[in-house]
Amino acid sequence: MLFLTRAWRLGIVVMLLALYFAAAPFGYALFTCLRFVPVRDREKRAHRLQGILRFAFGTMHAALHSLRVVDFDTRDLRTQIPDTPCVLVANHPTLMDVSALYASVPHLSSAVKPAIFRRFWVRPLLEQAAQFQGASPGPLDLQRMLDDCVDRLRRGYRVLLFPEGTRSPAQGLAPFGRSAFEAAVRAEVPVVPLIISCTPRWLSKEQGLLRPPRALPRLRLRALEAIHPRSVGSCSRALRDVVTEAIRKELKKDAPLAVE
Amino acid sequence: MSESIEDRLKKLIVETLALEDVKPEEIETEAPLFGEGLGLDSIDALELALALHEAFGVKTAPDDERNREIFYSVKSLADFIRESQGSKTEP
Repeated sequence: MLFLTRAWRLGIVVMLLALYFAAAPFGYALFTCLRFVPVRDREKRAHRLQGILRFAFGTMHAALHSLRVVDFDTRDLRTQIPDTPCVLVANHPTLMDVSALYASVPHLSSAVKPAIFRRFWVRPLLEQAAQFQGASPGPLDLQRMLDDCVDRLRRGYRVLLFPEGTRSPAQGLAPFGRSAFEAAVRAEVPVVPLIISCTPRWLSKEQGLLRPPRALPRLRLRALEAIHPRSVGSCSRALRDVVTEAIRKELKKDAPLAVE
Repeated sequence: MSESIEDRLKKLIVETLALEDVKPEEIETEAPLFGEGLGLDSIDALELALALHEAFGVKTAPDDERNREIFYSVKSLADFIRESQGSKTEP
């Protein structure tokens, strides 16, 4: 029976991938054309595009939920995240958490991998939707990314960053970088720690797209209480340590043996 | 006798990054600055890059693939500074 459910999931994934590759070029071409339509209010356009992204990812997750590919519920998350600009900091156990967050959180801006951001067919959509390019290796590009983070926060967006810089290891957390916390300090906005779990794991580093687990993956996201940089003397190092500890503690509650 | 670039860099690192528990002479010239070495991180690298520009007039390119090598240790930073200053003075 488990074999059959896994085969079902694999079939759905292959079908969705085929659908994506068939439809995506038209969508990206449309967004590229939209770039040349003059607008008076760039924020209004960004909000509309973010609304389209939210709808698209929301529809995808609702379909995956209905087709029993992923069990996903974000009802709690919507009420836990502040309405004001903040930096959302999360562990990153699966690739699905990114689309799940875009589906659930309005006015969301995030750092996109440079290799993806530079693709000429994706860039127009990302730029117009107020997303920004992640930092390439090198200190000066990090300065540019921090400036982009602060700019989005001052424009009223919530900025999502994964401080591990990559997907979380199977056991626990990778060390947190300081960029997200430095951005919060510079913009004087709170950090909201997010706890993400996917059980059993799928789309992690070890478990690829075409290797769905036999049991139904349950994706859960929840937010902890916001922490303001002022509470730690506006020191990004201290802020990082406090947030890391908060996330580690919660993950330990969920899986006491998995978090070291 | 004038101070070597390596010694100036060690002082600059301690002062710029406000490393309270580290003295300049305790930093090993060839030891890694990041991760398991002195334990600096990407934000430290950014602050250090700005300080290097101010103190030595050298600048790394944002997309410079060599950044990881340049910022590896005090020695690699000193080599980069010598190389950059040398190329500036060449006719």
